[in-house]
Formats: sequence, C-alpha cells, structure tokens
Amino acid sequence: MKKNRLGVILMAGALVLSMLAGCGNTDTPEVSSDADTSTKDELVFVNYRDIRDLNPHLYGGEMYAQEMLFESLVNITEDGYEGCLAEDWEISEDGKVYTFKIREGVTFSDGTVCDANAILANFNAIIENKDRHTWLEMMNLLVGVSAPDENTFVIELSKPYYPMLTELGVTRPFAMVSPAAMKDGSTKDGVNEYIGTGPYVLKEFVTDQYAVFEANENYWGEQPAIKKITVKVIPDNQTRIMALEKGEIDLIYGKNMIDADAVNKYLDSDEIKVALSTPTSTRQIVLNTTNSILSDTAVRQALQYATNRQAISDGIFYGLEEPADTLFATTIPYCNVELEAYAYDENLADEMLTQAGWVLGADGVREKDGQKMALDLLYNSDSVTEKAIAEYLQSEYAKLGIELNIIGQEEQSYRDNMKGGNFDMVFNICWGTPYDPQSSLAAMRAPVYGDYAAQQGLHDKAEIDDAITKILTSTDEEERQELYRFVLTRLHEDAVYIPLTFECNKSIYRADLQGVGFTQTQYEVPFADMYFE
Amino acid sequence: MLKKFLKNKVAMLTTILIVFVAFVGIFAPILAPNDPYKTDILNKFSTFSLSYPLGTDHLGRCVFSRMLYGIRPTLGLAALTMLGTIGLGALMGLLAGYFRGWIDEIIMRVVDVMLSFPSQIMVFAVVALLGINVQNVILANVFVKWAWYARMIRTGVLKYRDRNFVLFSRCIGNRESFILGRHLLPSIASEMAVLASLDIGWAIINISTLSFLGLGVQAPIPEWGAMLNEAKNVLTTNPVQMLAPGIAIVVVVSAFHLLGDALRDILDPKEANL
Repeated sequence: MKKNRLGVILMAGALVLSMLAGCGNTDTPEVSSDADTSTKDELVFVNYRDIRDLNPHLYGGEMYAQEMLFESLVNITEDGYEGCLAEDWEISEDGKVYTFKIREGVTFSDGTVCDANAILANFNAIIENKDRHTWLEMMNLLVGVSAPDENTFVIELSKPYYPMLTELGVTRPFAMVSPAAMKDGSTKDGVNEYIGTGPYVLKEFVTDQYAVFEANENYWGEQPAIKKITVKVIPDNQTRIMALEKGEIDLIYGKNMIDADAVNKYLDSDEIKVALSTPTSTRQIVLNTTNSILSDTAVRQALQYATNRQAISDGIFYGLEEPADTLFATTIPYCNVELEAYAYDENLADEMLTQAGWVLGADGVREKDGQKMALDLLYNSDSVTEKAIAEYLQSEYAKLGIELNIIGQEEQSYRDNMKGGNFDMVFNICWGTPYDPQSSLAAMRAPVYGDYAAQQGLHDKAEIDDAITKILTSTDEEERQELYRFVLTRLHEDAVYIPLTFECNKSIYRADLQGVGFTQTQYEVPFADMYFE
Repeated sequence: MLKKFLKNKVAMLTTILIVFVAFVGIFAPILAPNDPYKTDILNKFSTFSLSYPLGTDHLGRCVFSRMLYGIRPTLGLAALTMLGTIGLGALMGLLAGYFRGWIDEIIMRVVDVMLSFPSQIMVFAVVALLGINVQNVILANVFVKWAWYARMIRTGVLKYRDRNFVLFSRCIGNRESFILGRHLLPSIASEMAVLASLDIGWAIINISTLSFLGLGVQAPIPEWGAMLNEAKNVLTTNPVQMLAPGIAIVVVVSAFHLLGDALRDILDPKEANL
C-alpha cells in the first residue's frame, strides 16, 4: 500500500517534469527563426476573440480587421477629412448635395474595379437595410444616391447635416465591399467573401483560433512594411502577456486588452515597450432610470457623490487614466460646457439617501417601504479592468448601505443585455472620436446601446431627444452649441451616467516593433505605420 | 478500531489538521486581523507585514483574513454537498438493495444513466440551466454524484439483507422502515464514512473549480477558488497572490484524501489479518 502511493507520487512528478520539458521545447524553433530573418515583415497580433463576421455593412465584426480590409470614401484624420476612395469632393452651398470624385485605378482585391458604380451598389445595399442603421441620422435625411458617370458619386440630403463626412468616414457601415462578393447585390444577410480595397487581404482563418492577413499587392496607396499579420485568439489577459514575453506574439493593442498592472510592469522594460494614447473616451456606468430604485433622481445623484473617481484612477489605474467628472471630456467639440462635478462626498450621499426615504435596515442595507436597496451591476467579463472596478464599487457602496450584486458576462451577452435594457447599472463607454459627441448622442434616441433603455424613465426624455435631433441638422454654430449645452446639462443633472475615468488606448509590444501609434478612432489598429527594426 | 485509528499516524495527523482548519474557520471573526471585505484600493498588492500577514489583494483587502473567512464556504459547502449526496445516495441505495425487484430495476437504471455522463460536464450543464449561485452549485454536485453512492450502498445492503438478524427482525414483524433505519443503515455506516471522507476532497475541488470559473461563490464572498481566480488575473505581475489560496486548497484536499486512504486501511479486514 505504502509503496504504491510512493510510486504514484513519483509518476506524477515525472509527468509534471515531462510537461515542463514539453513547454520548453516548443518555443525554441520560434526563437531561432526570429534570429534568422534580417528584417522581419511578419507580425503576430492577438485579440481576445474571433474576427467574426467582417461584413462591413453590419456590426458583427471586429473593427480593427474591417479597417484592414475595407475603405470608405473619406478618412478622418487629426486635421480633418482626407480623401480615400474619393479623391476629392464638393458640398453644395445649401449643404444638401455632396459630389464625390472617385479615385481612379482602384480595384478590389478580387480584381473588380472600384468605380462610382461599385460604390453605388454598396450604398444601395446599405440603404436596403436602413432600419439597422438608426444611429446614423443621415439615413433619415437621405433623398437619394446616384452615379452620373464612372468617376462621380452624388449623395443628396433633405437638410444640411454637419456630421455627414464623419458618418461616411467611420469604419462601418459605409465601407466598400466588392459587388462580386454581395449576395444578389445585397449585404444585409451577409457577404460571400470579405473582399475590400484595403491594404490587407484576409488569407485564411480558423474560427476562435487565428486569422491570417497578407498585404494587398494591388493596393492603390503605399504598401505597408508589414507583409503578413497573423491574429491569434487568446481570451485570457495573463496568457496574452506571457505569450508576448515569450515572443509568440509581437503586439497587444486595445483598450480592454491590457490592465494597468501590466502597463506598469513594462514601463521600464527594454524588451517590451509600452504606448499609451491620449484619453479617447469616458468609462462610465449607466443607471437604468426605469428601475424602481434608480427612478428617483436624488438616488442617482447620491450614487454620483458616493463614487470616488480619484481612488479608482489612482488605485486601479495607477493614475494612467484620469478621473472623469462629466460624460464627455471638455476637450471634445462642443462639450466644454460648465458643469458642476459631483465631487466625492460620502456624507452628502448618505444624507441624500436618507432624505429620499432610504433608511439603514438591521442588516446594514438600506430599505424603503419594505424594498431593499439592492442593485445589479453588469460588467463585461472580457474587459480586463471592469471587474476590479465593480468589486471596488461594491465594497464602497456597501459602506453606504447599498447592496451591489456584480454580474459578469462575456462581451456579446453583455451587449445584448445592455441593448435590451436588462440591467440596473451597466458599464459603458462613450464612443470616442470621431463619434463623440454627435453620434453617441444621436444613438441615445434609439435602442443602439444601453442609453435608450436607461433614459426611458426620465421625465424630460422627449425634450432631450428633440434637442439632439435639432443639433444634428442645425446650421448655426451658436445655436448648435446652445443645444449641446442644453442636452449635456440635462443629462448631467439627471445623473443618468456616472462617469469614472477617461479611458486611454493602450499597447504593449516587443521592442523590435516600431511605429506603434494611435489613430483618431480608438477601434483601429494602424498596422500600416508599423515596421520591424 | 479506535485504537487502530490512534495508531495510524497519517489518520491522526490529517484529522488534527482538518479539525484545526475547521476551528480556524469557525473562529475566523476572532482570529482574523482585518475585515475581509474592507478595501483599501491605494494599498493594493502590498507585501507581507504585521498588519497584513499575507499582504493585500487587488483591492487592498487583507489576504490572510480572507483566507480565514474563506474556510467557511470552502469547507462548509463541501460538507453540505457531501451530506446531500450521501443522504440521497443512501436512501436510494437502501431502497434498491432492500426491496430489489422493480424498485431496484428503476433506481439502478437511472443510476446507470447518471453514471454514463462525465460528471464535470453534468455539473456545468445543471449550473447553466438553473443559473449561477451557490445553492445551484450544491444541487448540481449532489445531482451528479448521488448515483455513485447509491450503487456503492446498494452493494453494501445486499451483503446484509439476508443475514440472520435482518431475517429475524422481519420474522417478528418489525416494520420495514425500522429494519432499514436500525439494522441496515448502521451496518453500512462505516463504509459510508470512508466514502464520504474520500470524496469531501473531491467536493472541495469541485466547488473551488466552479468558483474559479465564476460559476460558484460570487464576489465579494471570500472563497479559495474565487480568490485563486482573482489572483490568476495578476499572474504575471503579482504571482505571490495565488500562493496562499493555492497551497491552502492543495493541503486541505490532500489531507482529506490521505485521511480517506488511512481510514480504508484501518477498516479493511484484510489488512487487519496481516
């Protein structure tokens, strides 16, 4: 009996050793291949989930991949708009007619010519699925699109619409897919192949394992230095970091892909570099105003006062993300309106809750008319930091007698529940440039994300929506600014959003990779600028 | 038997360890240096110190205090699971073994069906169906494991049901519930004890696994598996975090396994004859 047990332990030990040895063996060839090539032109990137359906006219694909494959009429840069598939454009004086001169000699990666007719086919396919794009106000204003000749494309609107070019320039839906890949000229039920005009083409992919992109040899613009990009799917943050350390992957990039501890760890490292963008969007918690507890404005305001943003910024992000006082940063266009921040004040929160009728029960949880003050906070379990914030808030609110149940769900079901309004409190972000503030606000008027559902309990919801609609078609700068001030002030005073921190885009990468930067939109990974030394 | 038990070093040591751990868990509020729920976010991942004997976790909570409080769900839920499993298994086993015939057929075919599924997958399926919370985890564990006990106990009952004392009891007209409860149950009790102690380690691992995967005990309740999960998120930056819960699980589960082993040795009649 005794001997047997010893034997088992020995065997187990041998097994563990052989496993360790196995791990050691697998990475040797990769290290040597690194040393062989003089200038590397293959990049291994990582994402937490599959590329999924890359059809650019729908919203189910990973945006970084769509940006690699597809292009739109214009690009949005730091200095404004830049021609992409449209070389140039003219806007009529009344602001209603946009005439684009289409770039000549551009072909899709399947050889189809990308002329005005191809672009018209794309627009027709997008407009066919109009109901899916409610967040785009231009869909409501559209009179018609036409292609008078091969190099001219015209869009007519019923009213002047100032964010028009921005909506045309964002990743989706106005990205061009080869008409040959459409299903009978339609894309709303998917496409046959992911064929675009972009700098890369999708070579192969295995669902939930990897995807391989190669440089598009016929690309009309400058050829990227990185010729081949392999995207591995690694859902776990720590596994990603270890893979990066071992050299299995070259780059981790994205807002929810890297936690502050990892960034901190590599700040002084020689082998692994860190890049941080300027703040891109606001990390916030949306309060569902239709919830019986949260329908009271005083309760929502009390929660604002109960949230210690500075501690979240310092404690969870080591100061990498600044605390946020308002839904949009004051640097966002039109958003520099003087709003009084809800400064952290536990006593005030306590007082407000008591005044609102929520008194501390025997078990340390507040009660009112027999109802306990228990709220659910939904977070995205694919995000590397939301859980930590949720847990922190849970303990903070518990001090005030608010019971917070935190529920983590993987990204898709988290989004579905948010959109469906199945939440008391939910983590959210505003969309960042170029969507802020106009598109983010426009999307509040329809069930796009959680905002619509969350605001249903507001008494002035109709008024706010009305003002947002007016903003979008306003032509007078001053009037527009006034309307923005009205909307932002109302939302702030209604305390629907608890702003937490200004999120920034983060990247950690092997030191031999150069040119890692950030673009205007936080959803794109600028592979074209990257190269190896 | 008690003498043999006292002579067996492994049995003694592991029993002492388990009783000690259980007591620490019971008296956690007195022994813990800090409030296990109190966060101090600016003081996260601090190293070992007098006020925080095992440092602090990612929210600045005292790891040591959380370990102590964590004994309660870890051991308590495992014990509860075993109680439920043995209870249901014993009932089914007794019925099947004693009454035989069609009752036996039905129960044993159900048992066969249950045993043909891999237990971990079944646990996931049950938790997924019923929703994520602690009660469901226990239910799921009981649900997948009772069949195993039912079969073992039935075999035990078969050994005794035709013994003279049972036959006699039946002859003089004792009720069947009396025979089951007073004759058969005590006869198989020692076997059940061994089975239970062998398997409580399994229950601990299972509950910790589910908590680790986020399906069991929910935050902020300290549970070793859940703590391990939180430590996993900082594996590369703060590897020390996972040592305490990891070692604790290994030690306690090993203790239960060794105890079960030792108990079997003690109760095994063949060993005694050597």
